[in-house]
Amino acid sequence: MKTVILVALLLLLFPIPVLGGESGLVISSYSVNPSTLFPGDTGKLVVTVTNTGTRSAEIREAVLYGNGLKVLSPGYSKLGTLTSGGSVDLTFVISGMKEGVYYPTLVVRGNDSTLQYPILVTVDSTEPEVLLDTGILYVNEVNRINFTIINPRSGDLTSIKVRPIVDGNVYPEYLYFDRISGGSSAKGVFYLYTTKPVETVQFSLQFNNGENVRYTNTTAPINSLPSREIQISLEKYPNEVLRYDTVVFSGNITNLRQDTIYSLIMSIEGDGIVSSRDVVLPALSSMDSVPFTIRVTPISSGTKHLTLTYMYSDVLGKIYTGSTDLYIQVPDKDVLSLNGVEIKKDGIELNIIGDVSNLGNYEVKGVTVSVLASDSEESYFIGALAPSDFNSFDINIPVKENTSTITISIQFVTGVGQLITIQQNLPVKEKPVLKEPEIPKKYYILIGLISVLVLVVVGYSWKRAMQ
Amino acid sequence: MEVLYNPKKFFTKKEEVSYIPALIILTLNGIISAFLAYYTIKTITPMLPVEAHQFMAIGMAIGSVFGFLTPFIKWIVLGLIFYGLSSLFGGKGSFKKLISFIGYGFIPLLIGDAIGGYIGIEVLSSMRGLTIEDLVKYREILETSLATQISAIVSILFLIWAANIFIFAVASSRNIKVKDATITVCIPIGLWVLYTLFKVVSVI
Repeated sequence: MKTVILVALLLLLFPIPVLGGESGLVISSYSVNPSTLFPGDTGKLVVTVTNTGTRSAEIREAVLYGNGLKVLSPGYSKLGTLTSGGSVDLTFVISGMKEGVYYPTLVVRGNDSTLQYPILVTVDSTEPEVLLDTGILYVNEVNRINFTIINPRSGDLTSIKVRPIVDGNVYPEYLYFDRISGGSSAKGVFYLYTTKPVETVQFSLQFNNGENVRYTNTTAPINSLPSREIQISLEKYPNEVLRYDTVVFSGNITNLRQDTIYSLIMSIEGDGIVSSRDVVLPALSSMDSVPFTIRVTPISSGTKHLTLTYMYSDVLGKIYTGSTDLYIQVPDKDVLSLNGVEIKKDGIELNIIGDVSNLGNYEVKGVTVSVLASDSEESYFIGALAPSDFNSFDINIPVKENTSTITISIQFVTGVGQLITIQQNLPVKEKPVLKEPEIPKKYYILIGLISVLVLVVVGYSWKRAMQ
Repeated sequence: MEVLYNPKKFFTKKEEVSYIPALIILTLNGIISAFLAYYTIKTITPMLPVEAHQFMAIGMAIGSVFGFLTPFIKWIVLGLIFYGLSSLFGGKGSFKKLISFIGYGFIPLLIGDAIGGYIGIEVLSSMRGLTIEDLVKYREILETSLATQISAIVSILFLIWAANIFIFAVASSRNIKVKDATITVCIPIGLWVLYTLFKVVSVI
């Protein structure tokens, strides 16, 4: 075999002159396209014949003998005279049915000489292969699959179209490679979304070998794992929250998927609560983690069932949702309380003093205490009130003589920005007059009788004792 | 009842020595004292700041217990004083007999406390709705009031009645003359009366 190859190379490097002739006809070059045929392919063989002699040479006939290959085009006859230094291209169409190395022979006959020239043609059935660079596939995620397409043949392949075939959504549907040289490879990537585990990815290949269009399929193994989705870790929060207080739900969102997620929206909803605005993230890359905070204010008492919901989409626009249940207890008690309220009535004016305490865990803002009495209203602005803090108020308000109750209202803004007003009605008590306690006259009589009784009894006992 | 109007005869013919009558009398006396302490603190508590309420609850418990024990403490202390003074006059009876006898002397004090307690409740009821500042002013008014003075006089009258019983109880239980027993009883009771009168006179 080695000898055959060596001979072929020598023939290519050193054109053979016309056997025994003086005219100087030689095969100056030839080409086979494609350079390596698949079995069944057709190829084009172009041979250039040059007159290297000093005088003109006539070419009567040029015939190609297949020697195992099919020669599909006819030979040439009466080609005419080739002047000194002139050349002519002779084209033959060949086809190889079986794998192997062939040496079709070109015979050129002139007036006084004949030229024979063996040409090397290879027929190879080795197909291109596809190898997956990504070994793991996550179900319900958009997977970026890297692959390598290998051309193990000696000849180039052109117009390669690769179509991954798998049970799922594939993007793009086709990948196109202009040329992969013989013995080289090319890298490609596609995105795959599947809802169930798969074990292999099939690739359908279409490519050109010369002018031959060929098709082949190849299969690559892959491991499937369930999606790790996103993880929401919540920090500890108080289980009991006063009405109108604010509980802060904070934590981290981590994208455990191997793809980037988009348009993440997270919110907390439930009956009898008001929550701060939703958490919105434009995008979150794989394995990235971001902190979040959602504030919730209960506006009624009882056990509150809260639902933390999230929604996001993947690169293909597929939407994913999930939720987590949360519970808080809300006692029948407001976050702000009135303490030490004293109402002093002085004629037609009331003086109301007292404290407003924040019993909650979150700051309230814009606290204003108002007193409504006898169609009059007076307010006292306190401002922000930190948790476990209190502030005093002192309000004077004119009232009618017969005012028996007043309404004290506290207006404030909760941690989620909601304006709340709580009210309490209080009686107006007339200040008791400090005077000496009065003892009814009958008691004086009774006390007098007892005194007499005591004296009589003592006296009597001594009288008896003396007897 | 004979002990109230003819104590000499009652103690002369009394031979058995028992704590039970004394304990019954003192327990009734203690219940009245405990109730008065409880009622007083309960009336004052709303006048105090909210923060002080929990302390007043503890004070209510301590006051009630101490009020209940006060008559028993007085009983023992008077018994010791009477025993010591009567010894100077050659008293020979046992301490047990002495205190079992003087226990009867607390019957007038029980009646006096009941009447005084009733007046006290009337006065406390008139204090409802006062503030703590008012209470301080009201205390001054109360100390100089006719009700307080009459209450003190009534208290002294019942104390004299009790002393009358104590004299014959001491004389009989310690086997000393009535004159000596009178001296024995009048020294501590006299001081008690003088103290009560001093309190009333000093604020007028």
